[in-house]
Amino acid sequence: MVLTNALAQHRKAAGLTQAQLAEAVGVSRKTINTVENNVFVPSTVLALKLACELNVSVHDLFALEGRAGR
Amino acid sequence: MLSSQSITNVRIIGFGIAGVVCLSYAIATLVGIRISFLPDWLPIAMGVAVAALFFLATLLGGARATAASLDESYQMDRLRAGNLGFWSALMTGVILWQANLGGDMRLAITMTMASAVYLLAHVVLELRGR
Repeated sequence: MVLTNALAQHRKAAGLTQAQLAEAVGVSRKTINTVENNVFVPSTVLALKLACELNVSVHDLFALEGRAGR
Repeated sequence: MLSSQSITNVRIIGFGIAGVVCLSYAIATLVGIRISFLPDWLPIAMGVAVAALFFLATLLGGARATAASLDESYQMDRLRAGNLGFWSALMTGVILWQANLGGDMRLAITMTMASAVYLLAHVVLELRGR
């Protein structure tokens, strides 16, 4: 199973830069960049903060590809 | 007020300089060169100076920027760099155990090499995700 994310799309749709989103959720811009590029898997807390800031569900931001039974 | 990015930049530059000094000291000690501009106390002094510089940067940045610069991706980088430092210390120690060096020399090389690997790995990992 591979974790995919649509953070960049939702961030751009919200009209935010990486730096602005990072500031809003209290992390560094690098963290946002590494999450968007699938280098770093965020904690549950950060995933919830990102979803809250972008007014979407966590499931809209992150998904497991190749999940058994799907 | 410094931003989280600025605090991270201070950390990268400080760790980079201290890492290079530690690596130079380890290599110079290993090959038996006495470098005039590299006194024995320099690695420790660099570590203290970098700690003071980073402390000053966090004071200027405030709590929010400091917390952002020490966020979870930083913690991941720190753990990875720590792992590399630990294994490099172990491997350097084992390799130097075979060499005909005094115990104090072995200790000095091993510790400064481990510090250099930790600091420079930290810099590489922090720069990689930018």
